[in-house]
Formats: sequence, structure tokens, C-alpha cells
Amino acid sequence: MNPVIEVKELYFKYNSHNVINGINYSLNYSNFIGICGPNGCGKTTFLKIISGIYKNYAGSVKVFGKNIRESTNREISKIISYVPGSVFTPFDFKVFDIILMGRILYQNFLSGYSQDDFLRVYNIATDLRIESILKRNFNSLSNGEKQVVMIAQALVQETPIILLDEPTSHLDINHKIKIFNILKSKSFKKKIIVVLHDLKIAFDYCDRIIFMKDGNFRFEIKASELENNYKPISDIYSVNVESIKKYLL
Amino acid sequence: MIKKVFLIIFIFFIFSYFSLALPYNFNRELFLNLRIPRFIGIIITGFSLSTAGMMIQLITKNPLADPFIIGTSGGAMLAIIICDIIGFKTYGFVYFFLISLFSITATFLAYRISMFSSLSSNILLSGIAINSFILSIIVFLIIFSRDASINFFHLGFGSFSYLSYDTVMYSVLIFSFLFFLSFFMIKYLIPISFDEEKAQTLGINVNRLKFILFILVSLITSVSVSISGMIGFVGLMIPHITRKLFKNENFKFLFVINSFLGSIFLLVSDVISKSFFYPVEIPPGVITSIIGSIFFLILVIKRENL
Repeated sequence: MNPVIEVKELYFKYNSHNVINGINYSLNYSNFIGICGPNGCGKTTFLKIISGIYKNYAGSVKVFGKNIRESTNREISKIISYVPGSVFTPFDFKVFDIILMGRILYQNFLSGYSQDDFLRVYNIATDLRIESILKRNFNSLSNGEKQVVMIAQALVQETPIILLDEPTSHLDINHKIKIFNILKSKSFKKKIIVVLHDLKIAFDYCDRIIFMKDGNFRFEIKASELENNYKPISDIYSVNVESIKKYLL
Repeated sequence: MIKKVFLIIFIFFIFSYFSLALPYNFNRELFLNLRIPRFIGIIITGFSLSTAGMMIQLITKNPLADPFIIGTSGGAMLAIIICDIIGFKTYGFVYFFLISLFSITATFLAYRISMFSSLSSNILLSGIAINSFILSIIVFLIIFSRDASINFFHLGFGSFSYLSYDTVMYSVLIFSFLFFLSFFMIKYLIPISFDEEKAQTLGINVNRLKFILFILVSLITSVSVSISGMIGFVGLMIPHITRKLFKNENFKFLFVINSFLGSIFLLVSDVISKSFFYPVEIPPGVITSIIGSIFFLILVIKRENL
């Protein structure tokens, strides 16, 4: 069987600066994966490469045996959905329309959205308890609500893999917990890969955590293995062991 | 919302009446052969300019974009002047094709140059450069050709005079087709104006889509320029007003009402241009630019949620 995500010798340059430096990785059975690491270590870039946004990388990235570089956006969007860290839009849209966008890959040029698409949007919205804000405008929402809407959009896309880029980086603790509870509940059926800064959340929710530094995967641990790994984690962030311990307790 | 729609339709009819009836010297011949085509020309220009403005703002994610500012109209205008100089004046599909070719080229130059940096305001900067470059070519050409200079004076600030049924019917035909096409594009327009990277992961080929949309916008703009010359600020102003008036409405509805508002605005400026300084008729582009530039300044000063 093909591994879910298989990355071989992945290199990526951005403005002649090496962002990704030879990642080799294959993901098989874990369902909820966190990627952590200091700022600028290439976490977001890695997600964008897997989700097909950056296609000028060197190396090979395969998802379900499908080569990302040679796939069309439409093919990729059927297996991977991507939730950006923050969205800024100068124009205002209704929340309902934004969630509905997730269904666009099932449309062709002539067809409009069907009743079935609307129903799926309503179902997801009820599931995430955001049915009351469906008629509001996106820019009038709080950051937390916006992020839930973006997750709803990724869910109506009905992909087996969801990638999230720092979904909770500037949210209060209430929304953080809410969003990760949603993700956790979805992770039994889908593979979820999330880039995040909050180590506490990472160890609470993720099955496995990958630590990145300087554009490469340094090591991968199970959430339950935290005890033995204070030292390597502190090396990743270049802080001393004590302060990491203090932070994570 | 229904109230507002009725009000808009009401205003539309009132100004249609004034635009058809002013100045008061009724003559059946005059009415049928001059005023009706002129009226249709105004409506089509309003529809196309406001639609093009709406679309280009969404594509570039920039609320200050407008086909007049980024050089699309300028390109079309250059083609008209060149056609004039070489003596090719019959309105038809070939003429329209030539005009749209120039406007597509101008738009793509602006877009292509703006791609070197990722700022969304960049298309304005490169567009302004392209636009003034084209305008200077136009002036250069005019200096050496007396015929074209009359046409330039005539079309430089827009004009609805001298429209014949032939011209107007061609433009109605072309515009209806384009408007129909852009209606199908709305569902793709929303994602790319929302977030381009996100749109890519939603399964949209963003570069190809933008390519098609820029061609569509240039074609729509060329329709208006080919019949009435360069009329600025309609495409900038009207989409803002539409969005302000109908904040919570469906996008397809916005699209339709937006084009209506565009033609109302042109009807108003037509009425003003005919009646305020009678018997002198000032070009409608002057009126739209006066109102539009004041509006633009207010927009810059307030800069609230657009």
C-alpha cells in the first residue's frame, strides 16, 4: 500500500534562500500530526508544497501515490484541503458563500451549486455550531469565528487530508480549545496535519509531533514520549531545558 | 432590499425619460434616429463599465482598481485612434476585435509587470504607468493627424453623440454575450478575490482563470470604449456604491444591480451634460470624472471597510 504522504529529497528555494533542505518523510498511519519549530524554519512552506501551492520544488512529493507536481489543482483539491493561517479580504462575503466555496471543485463551468451542496454546508455548520453566523459577513466576525469558518470550508471539501497553518496562533484559549476539539473529533476519519507554535496544545491533542529546524525534520515523537525528550526540544528552540519544562508543565 | 430595488428602477426610469426627452424639441425623426441609439449606447456603456470595474476589483483584490486607471480603456482608445488614422471606421466585429486586442495587450502589460512583486496595489502602479504611456502615444499620433484630433477631442472624455443603430446593435450583441459569460465566472471570482492561495487549493487553476478573466474584462471595457470613448471613474465608483447599498446580498444579484447603477450614473451625467450648460454639451466623461474624483478623495480619506 502507498504511504499517505511520501516526501523524498525535498528541496525548496525562495528568493535564492534555501527554505526546505532535503526532507525525507513518509506518513502512514498517524491521524493527527503536529509540526513545530522556531519561526522561519519552513513549516508553512512545507505545508504549501504538499497542498500544491508551490510547485517549483526539487525532489518528489507523493500523496496517496499521486505526484503533486504533476497533478492539477483540481486533482489535489480532492485529496487535500488547506486552511491558511489568516485570511485578509478587502471585500466582504457572506459566511455561507465562503463555506460554499469548498464545494467548487465538484462544479464544472456551467453548473451552479446544487441543493446537495447547500445541504452539506448546513450540515457542517450545524456540526461546528456556527449555523447562527451563516448569514453574517465574514469581515464582521472575530478571528476565532473566522478560523472556524475556514475549517468548515475545508471540511465541506470532503478531503481525506486537511492541512492547517497555525490555526490558533492569535486566538484566545477558549477558541483554541474549541478549534482543537473540532479537529480532534474529525481526526478519527481524516488525516490532519497542523503547524503550530503552542507546544502545550501540540502535546495535548496531536498523536505525533514533528520538530523542524532550518528547513529539515529533526525528529518525530509521540505525544506520550514527552518525558524523555525535553533535551532535544530545547535544542530545537535554542533555550535551556528548564524553561521548556516549566513552560510545558 | 426590495424597496431599494424599486427605488433604483424608479430612478432609472426617471432619468431614462430625461435623457430621452432633453432638450425639449420633439421631432419624430430626431427621436428615432438619434436619441434612441444614444440612449441604448448610454445604457450599454454604463453596464459594461461598472461590470468591468467590479470584476477588475475582485480579480486584483484591490478596491481602487478600475479599467480606466489600469490602462484597459487607454489601450482601446489607442486602437480607435489608429483605426481612425488608417481610415478604418466601419463598426463591426473586425473593428471590435482590433480594439479589444489593444486593450487586452495593455491590461496584460500592467498585470504582467505587477507580478514582479506580490503587493496587490502593484497593478495600480504599473497600470498608471502603462496608461500614461499609452496616452502619450495617442497625443503623439494626434499631433501628426488632423482627422484623428477631432476624434480624440470627441472621445477622450467620452461622448454619446453620433451613435448609429448599427454600432449600438453590435455592441448590445457583444455585450450580452460577454455579460452572460461573466455570469458563469462569478462562482470562480469569489474564491480568487478571497484568497489566491486558498483558491488554488480549492482546485482552481488561478493563473489560467486570471488570464481568462483579464481577457473578459478587457473585452467588456472595449465594448464601452468603442461606442463612447474613455469615461473614467464609473468602474471605480459604482461597485463601491453597490457594495455599500446591498451589503448582505447574493453576489449574482450584486452583479446585476451594479450594472444598473452604472447605467443610472451615466444617464444622470448625460442629463447634466445636456441641460446644465445648454446649448453647449459638455462630454459626459467630464461630469463622471468630477463626481468620481470627489468620490475617490472621500474614499481615500475615509478608507473604512470597503
